[in-house]
This record gives sequence, structure tokens and C-alpha cells, in this order.
Amino acid sequence: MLQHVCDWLTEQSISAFVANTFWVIPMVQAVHILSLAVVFTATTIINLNLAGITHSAVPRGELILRLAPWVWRALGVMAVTGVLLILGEPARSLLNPVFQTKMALLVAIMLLTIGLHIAVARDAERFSATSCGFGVRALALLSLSLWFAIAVAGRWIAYVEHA
Amino acid sequence: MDAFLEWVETLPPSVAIAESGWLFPTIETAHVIAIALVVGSILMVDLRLVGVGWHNQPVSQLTRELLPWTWIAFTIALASGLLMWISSAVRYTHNLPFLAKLGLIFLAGVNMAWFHAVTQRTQDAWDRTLPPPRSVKAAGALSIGLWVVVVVFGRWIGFV
Repeated sequence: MLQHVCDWLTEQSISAFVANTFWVIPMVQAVHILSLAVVFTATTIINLNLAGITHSAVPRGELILRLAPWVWRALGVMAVTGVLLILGEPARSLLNPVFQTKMALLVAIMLLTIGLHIAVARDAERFSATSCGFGVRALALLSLSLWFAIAVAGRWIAYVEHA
Repeated sequence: MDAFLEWVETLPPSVAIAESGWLFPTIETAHVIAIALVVGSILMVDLRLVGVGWHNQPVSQLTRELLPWTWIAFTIALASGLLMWISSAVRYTHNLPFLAKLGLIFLAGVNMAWFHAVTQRTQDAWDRTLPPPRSVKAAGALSIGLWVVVVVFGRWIGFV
């Protein structure tokens, strides 16, 4: 099934454009990494604060609400550049077990992040308390680990042979 | 020059990284994550300097909270970068995007040093001011531009 999708994508003219124009892949990857910088830094600040490891003069709830829009904007850019990279070489990513793992982790972190942002938007005060409850702190450490694993997987796609 | 670079490549850690299948990608992964934190944290401060983000936060508070982390991440990026360089010193030192990247990081450092040494001397006068004075905006905008291009050239190293 996935093989057919790869074959079909490879036949599309945009795929040939991305693959054959020498500057497209490095430029798209550079934009992908710049967006990663925004997502990774913002979520690391949020999660370290939620976990109680770092503290800011900005109340925790307010800090999260300020950073959240940047996380989502940068994730939008990562999605667009990510799709372009897939189009350039569909089999290299879609059939790659590391890529598939990355996508599964991404679904998990999206659900966690949406849940967190909704909870904070509803009641920011609760998150600004001196210390968050055990559950929130544990989820923050889980989020931190998931983002780390996603970044690691992203770099390793290039080093693992696809099926 | 090349004799020195070739000697660097014969050092035990250089040989170990060059010959191992997993060492180089592992170091490179640490490098990418460290760079992401360096650039992300610098961009946050720069956006405030330009007057775009963190409107009611004093510049002094942002730099106090963020820049120590920037330096930790920069140290990791530098160490991992050095390890990748020794594994293939001749090739990298003749790689134009690599040289351009180093030059741009140097310029970003000069911009930062000028900002800390000269512009920030009057920080009490504009710490909370919006829009910030032109010299502060210029430092932020220049820093954003330089770091964006650093990342572009960094990614380009592998394509030459």
C-alpha cells in the first residue's frame, strides 16, 4: 500500500521539482530546522517550568499562553516543509521505520500539547500556582522526552535504510 | 595547513568518529538539538529587542532568564561541532558553507559583544520602552538575520 503511495507521489511533477532542483532540499531542511528551533525552545521552556525545574518571573500560566501560538505557528511551518521533503523522496521517508516512529511520537505529543494548551487556556491561574501537581509534572517530563525523541528520530531518518 | 589538518584526522578520537557507524550521527544529533536551543533562545531575546514579542517584559529579565541556557547549549554545539570537524578536518576546512558558517557566527559574536559592551550601557533608559530605540532594534534584527543564515549554511555543509 505505502509502496504504491510512494510510486504515485514520485510521479507527480512537484516531487521531481523538489528532488531535481539542487537548492530546494537544503533550503527546505534549513527552514524545517529553524522552525524546530522555535518549537523545541518554546516547549522546553514550558515543560521545564511545568516540571518545576526552572522558574520565570512570568507567571507559569501566562508564560504558556504566550509561547503556545509560536509553537503552533512553527509547527505549521514544520508540517509544510516536512511534506515537501516527503514529496522529494517519498520512499526515503514513508517506508523508513525511523520516520514511521517519528510520526507515531508526533501524534502522541500533539494530543498532549493540545490537551495542555486547552487546560491552560481554561484556567491559567491553576498552572501559575507555586508548584504543579505530580500528574502535571510527570506529563511535562514525558513531553520533554517525546520532543527530544522526535528530534533525534528526525536526524536519524537519513542514516537508516528504508525497507 | 593541510599537513596539520591531516594530522588532526589521525588523532585517535578523529579515527574513532570517522570509522564508527553510529558515533557521527549521534554527535550530529546532539549538535542539531543544541543549535535549535541556541537559535531559539537567541531569537526570543532578539524579537523583544526588535519590539515584536514579550511586550511587557523588561529586556534585562529576558536576558537574565534565557542567556545562561543559550551559553550551555552553545558549549554543547561547539564541542559536538569540533568533534565532527576533527573526523574530517581536511574536507570541512575546504567546504565553503562551513567557512561561511564560521564567519557568520563570528559576526554574530561581534554584534553581541557590541550590544553588551556599548548599547546595554544605557539599558536602564530603554529596558521597558516600546518601541525600543533604533540601536537596540538594529542589534536584534542583525542577530536574527545572521543566525538564520548560520542555520542555512550549516545545513548546506552536507550538500557540497
